[in-house]
Amino acid sequence: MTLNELKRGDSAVVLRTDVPSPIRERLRSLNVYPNAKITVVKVSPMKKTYLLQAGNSQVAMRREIAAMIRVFRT
Amino acid sequence: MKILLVGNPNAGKSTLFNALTGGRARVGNWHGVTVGALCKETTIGEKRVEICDLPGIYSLDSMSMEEKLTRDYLAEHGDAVLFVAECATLSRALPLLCALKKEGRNLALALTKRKQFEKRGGKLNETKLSEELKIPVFTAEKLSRSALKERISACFAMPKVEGDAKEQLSVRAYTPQSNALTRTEKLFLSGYFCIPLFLCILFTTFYLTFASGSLGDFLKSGIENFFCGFLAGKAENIPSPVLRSFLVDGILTGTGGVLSFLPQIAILYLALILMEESGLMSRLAYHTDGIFSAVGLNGRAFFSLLMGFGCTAAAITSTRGLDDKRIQRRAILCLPYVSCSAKLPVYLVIASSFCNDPFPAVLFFYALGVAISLIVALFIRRENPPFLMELAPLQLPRPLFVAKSLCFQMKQFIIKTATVILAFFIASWLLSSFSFAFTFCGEEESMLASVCRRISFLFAPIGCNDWRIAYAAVSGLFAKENVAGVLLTFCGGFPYGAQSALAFGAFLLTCSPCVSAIAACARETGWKHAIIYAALQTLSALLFAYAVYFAVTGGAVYLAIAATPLIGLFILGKKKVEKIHRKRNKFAEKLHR
Repeated sequence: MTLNELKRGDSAVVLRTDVPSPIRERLRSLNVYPNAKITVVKVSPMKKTYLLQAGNSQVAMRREIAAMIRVFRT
Repeated sequence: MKILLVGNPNAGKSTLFNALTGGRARVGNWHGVTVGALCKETTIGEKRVEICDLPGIYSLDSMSMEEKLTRDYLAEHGDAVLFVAECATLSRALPLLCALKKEGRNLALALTKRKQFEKRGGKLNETKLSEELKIPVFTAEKLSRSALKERISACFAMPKVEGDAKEQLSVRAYTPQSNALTRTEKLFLSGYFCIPLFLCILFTTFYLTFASGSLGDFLKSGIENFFCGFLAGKAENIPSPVLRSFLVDGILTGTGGVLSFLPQIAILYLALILMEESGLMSRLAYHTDGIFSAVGLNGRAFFSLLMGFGCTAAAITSTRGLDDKRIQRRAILCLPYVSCSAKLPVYLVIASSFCNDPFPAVLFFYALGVAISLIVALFIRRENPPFLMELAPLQLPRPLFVAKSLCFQMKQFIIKTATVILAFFIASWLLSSFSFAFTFCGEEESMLASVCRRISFLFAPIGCNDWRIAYAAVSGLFAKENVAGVLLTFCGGFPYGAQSALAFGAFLLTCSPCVSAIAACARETGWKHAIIYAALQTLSALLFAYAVYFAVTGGAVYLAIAATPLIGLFILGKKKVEKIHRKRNKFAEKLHR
């Protein structure tokens, strides 16, 4: 499943990030990389923005990027 | 001897570099700030040592540009490496550290951001860490330059311990911090809390800055009085009228005008810096993102737009903080339509010519400006950039850092715009005090007035074929307050009736901002773009004014009839373009797979 299918409070492990290279680097610096553990803190009302806790960073992203991150729900 | 600073991005290498060498490596709270190796010599102990700040990397084997650079540099220089790691992310940095240790380098570990780490329940023991990693370890936080140098020379003087560093640290050496959200953090994650808080801050800031009798207003009048009252009074003693006029009307008024709005801009910037430093800004950007993505902006751009209510030039300068050039450009294009505080006196003069109570009319102009700004944002071609943002840590702003930032911003603003504005003021004085025969004269015979007589036909379609109206409009190019001044001095208000007043107001609302804003825009996007934008805005403002006049003098029905199919075509055309874009994106995705 992809990250945008997770609900608030879900924990997951990142499997793959199918994103263009500069975004992948950025995600990596934000602790979102394969085998990283993440938790969904908040989802905006229209499911447009996702707020995650990844390691010690809180990361906000829009649905387009969330849809390109494959995760395994734990 | 050379010491290389290696570590993950944003670990604090450049801060350490600056602390050690007094250098000015660019420091920023994001990934990718340092590009390329930066080397500087300093004295440690008795020896001259060269410290090299390298870009942050995660591993030595990935293909990114920074990693390649650091890897090549390391390969060439088998020197001592000072590994810099953030306490909170030490476990992530370990693989790189172990890889470097395996290569047999002379290694030491400097830990940063320890206070933050321990506040969140993290624990570490330097001695145990040093044992397990087999390298000297010290905390680099809050050490003075001499203390840092002492630690470093002590570390590299110690005999090297052979053996590989442990990849998994024991609990006694290192306990990770808890990443659970504290109550304060949960509070700030709630939109119901943040947005009202933001509105309060906004209201307070605007009140402090613009309300009559407030701090900002007081300082502004103080400076104006100093330049245009006191100093101008001193200049009365100069015999030559030309020189006196040059000093008083040119330089003093110009400088006074520019410097007088500095206190207000300082207050606005202070609010901006406080909100950024405390982490509130990034949370606001997150909360308001949903709304703003609809117009292709983001929450941070929102604050720049709000600053536009104060001063367009300052707002444009503040868009520099937006890290996406496309959003910055869009924000800069929308900003002039948000009426700056200098337009207020003009609206008042225009409105009082046809209303007893000018307040609703002024409100109408402001609202119209905001609406046009949003429409402009909607219709500029946009490729929605991906929104990916880290929420900055929530913390009390550090006073020293805030003061330094404020001074820096103000200096930037002064250097970038003040010089240009002063030049324009002097030019304006020249053009309005001398006739084409270069004789010193009053305004009515000046060059500027002659030019305005030629172009006054531009205002004929709104019923004001009068050079004084054109003169007012042109003077608005230099400072919007001038329009009110000219209207009052030459026409005693607005002499052409309500419909023309409305149309002229519409023109002022949408025409190019004053030269300070154009200068600020030029600094952000280059002079070519700034001038093109200004010209386009003025042209569209004229056309808009004609349309408004036509509408209010009975042609509204015709306009509506003509406009509907045009709008329809436009929307259809946009949908078609969107469809093509979507198809293209899907195709690109398929290729990717």
